[in-house]
Amino acid sequence: MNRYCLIPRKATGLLIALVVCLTMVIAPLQAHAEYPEKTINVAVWSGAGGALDIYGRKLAEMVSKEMDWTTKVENRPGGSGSVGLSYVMSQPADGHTWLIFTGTLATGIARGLIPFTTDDIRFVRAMQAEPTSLAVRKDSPLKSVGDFVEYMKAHPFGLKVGGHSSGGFHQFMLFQLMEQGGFEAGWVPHDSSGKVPINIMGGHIDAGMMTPSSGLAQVLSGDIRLLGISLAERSEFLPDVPTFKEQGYNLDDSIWRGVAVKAGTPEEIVAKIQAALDKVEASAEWKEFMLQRKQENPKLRDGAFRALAEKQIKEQRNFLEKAGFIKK
Amino acid sequence: MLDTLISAGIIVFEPLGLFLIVVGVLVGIFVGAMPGLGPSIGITLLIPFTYDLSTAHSLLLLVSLYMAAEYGGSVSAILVSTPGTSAAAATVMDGYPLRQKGFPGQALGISLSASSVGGLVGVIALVLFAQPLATLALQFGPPAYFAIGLFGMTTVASLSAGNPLKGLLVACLGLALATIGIDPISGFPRFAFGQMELFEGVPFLTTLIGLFALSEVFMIAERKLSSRKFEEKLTHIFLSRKQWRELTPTMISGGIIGTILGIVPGVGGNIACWIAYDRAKKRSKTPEEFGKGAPKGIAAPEAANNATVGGAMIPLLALGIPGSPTTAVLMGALILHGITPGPQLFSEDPGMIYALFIGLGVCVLVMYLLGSLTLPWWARIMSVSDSVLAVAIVVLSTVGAYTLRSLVFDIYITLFFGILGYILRKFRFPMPPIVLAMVLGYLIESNFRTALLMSRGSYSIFIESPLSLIFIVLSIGTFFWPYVSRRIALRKRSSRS
Repeated sequence: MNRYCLIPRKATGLLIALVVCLTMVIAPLQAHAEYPEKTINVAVWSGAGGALDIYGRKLAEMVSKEMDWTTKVENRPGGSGSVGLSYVMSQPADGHTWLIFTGTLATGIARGLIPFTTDDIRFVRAMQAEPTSLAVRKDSPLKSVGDFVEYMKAHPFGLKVGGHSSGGFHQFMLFQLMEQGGFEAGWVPHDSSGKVPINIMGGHIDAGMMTPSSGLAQVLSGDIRLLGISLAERSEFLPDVPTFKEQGYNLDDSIWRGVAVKAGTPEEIVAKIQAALDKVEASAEWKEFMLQRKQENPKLRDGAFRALAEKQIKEQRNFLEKAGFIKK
Repeated sequence: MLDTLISAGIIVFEPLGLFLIVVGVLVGIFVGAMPGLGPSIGITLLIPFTYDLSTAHSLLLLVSLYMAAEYGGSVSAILVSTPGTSAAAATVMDGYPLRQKGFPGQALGISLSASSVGGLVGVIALVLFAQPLATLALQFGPPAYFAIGLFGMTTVASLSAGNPLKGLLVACLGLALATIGIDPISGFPRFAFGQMELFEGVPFLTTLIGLFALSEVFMIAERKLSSRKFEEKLTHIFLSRKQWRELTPTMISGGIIGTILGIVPGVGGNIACWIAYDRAKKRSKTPEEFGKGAPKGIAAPEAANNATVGGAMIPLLALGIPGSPTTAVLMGALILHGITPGPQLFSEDPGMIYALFIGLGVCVLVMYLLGSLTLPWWARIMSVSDSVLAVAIVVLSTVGAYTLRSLVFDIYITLFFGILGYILRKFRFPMPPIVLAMVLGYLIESNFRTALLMSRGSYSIFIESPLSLIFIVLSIGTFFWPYVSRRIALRKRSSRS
């Protein structure tokens, strides 16, 4: 006796018929369904907490609010971003999986840590950008980038300089300053950006290269002084901080955060995503969020965004070769 | 001042405030007990529900979850030998044996009481000394971090269950495992064999689950199946006055260790639980009981990991810099609410800070009450036969390993370490030194090399920094003390005769 069969045989037949009918009704509907047909996976390529995760979560929240789309944030950390990227690559190119990623893409590709190229990615839009800055404690005698360069010229390796990660964006910027100023400095790498202001405040390093937001409370209270910031013009958020450029050093680069989808995603879907992002960026709440986080809007999309990433990869590769991180 | 205090009290004690604390605690115990979820994932899961709440209310919900999750980790550590959070690893050492002896309720009761006392110690430190303690955190530079790591390594001997040589061997294995992943100084992957899943190192909790939980399954599979009945009566669950008298000093000292290590960014509960365990064992009159279900062996690490909650909040509030993965997520939640954590909050929004302080105190009480109510329930559903237990462990371990990073690769890692753990246990190698060395290895190596980069190769940097000097002296002292004390004892005896 078949006592595991819970549904009588006749009912099974009926059920199958019903399912078949339903599918026949629904399937054509789905084919013509508007994007998005289902939940949008917002895949953040770093762990929870931290600037990128906050950006991804706020974006997901705003897309739900403004467009009434369902979104779900997923953290896919690991492999310097490779894990997040390969997750997006494993999903269909239908625009339902967004990658939330940063300018460290350039470092990862230049060093060969990320086994993908810019051809695998459909760059959608860079929505946040943050410069790096040369930061010292408030009691430091250094008052300008010039002071710093002069001191380092007179005392090679005289100051302990450090910042987040080894061979990454911040060290790349210091390297450019070294080349232009003609001095030599070591680099104290930090494994998290939060430790940089702590080590500056504690006097463990004399100067740091950091994004102003990693020690925002200290920057705003004046406990940490920024000598220069890597923007073309002064930031509207920190108008008292001079740029490197106005002090005679050509340092103008930012670490961006943006959205991408898998290459091969239909253009009409990308256009719909762009329209959604337009709506988010126009909202008062998003502007308020950008202001609170002291984020610049790079206003880069599609081809221009991709071009920036490719330029950065080239520059980083050049730096890594010169600094001896990779062989020519 | 009084007005803000009263309005803060109202936020906490009005029905919504209390409701959120209760929800936070219940969810916290659950995510803590589920290996792979833990406090930081728990908070990210709840963030979307806080968008419509005020910031103070959201904070109440999220910190209650954080606090309760640190206790929840011990539930699975005790009942199924699977640490639910990595800070509950030390609780397995005595919690699981006590359960095996037939006293799961007793073990859970000690853990709950110790978690509450430890949690309170951390909260008191946060409320009273946030500013001076944050200044202390700033004094820790790379040389001091290195010295703390070294000090942590001195506990290997006492964690080796009477066989220091075997302990040392597996500690070396742990140190070797810690070198896998991207080199913290040069930025290049080492020993990762091109596996991008290993770039960030061997995932810690995954290893922990394999070594402690899966290896236990193999041990169970070998044993003759028994359907042991738990004789324990439910009255055992509240600690007797005698137990409180015995355990309170251990809980308080565990709490202090947890608070201090919680403040230091990047150290936290993973290390605090072992150091507290080691202290309790060294100060005990019956150290041989440790590892066989000693109540103090549960109380010390559990007090320590809950105290890290208050400790880790100190740099977050006083400096605006997160000191642990969980406070990083908490900071993210605050920012999404339009608030930038930092010292300016004390003057700009004192109401919220007071509500947070009162709420943390209330949440410890709620955790104790709700924990007590759910205790008999936990203990009863877990008093299952070994065959069911083994299956439960396998399911929890693999699901836990996968959830952490959503990588199937991590399930293989857990399996690998489960088999390795089984082999090592067969040859009577102790487990804790591997785990401890894995956490400390990275701390020691990266800070040692960073310090030398700072001093341009001069070793004097380790002596010049006062904090580093203190911990180095402490480490040397702890290492040689057993030999010295034995010498002194021998000399006394010979001079007497």
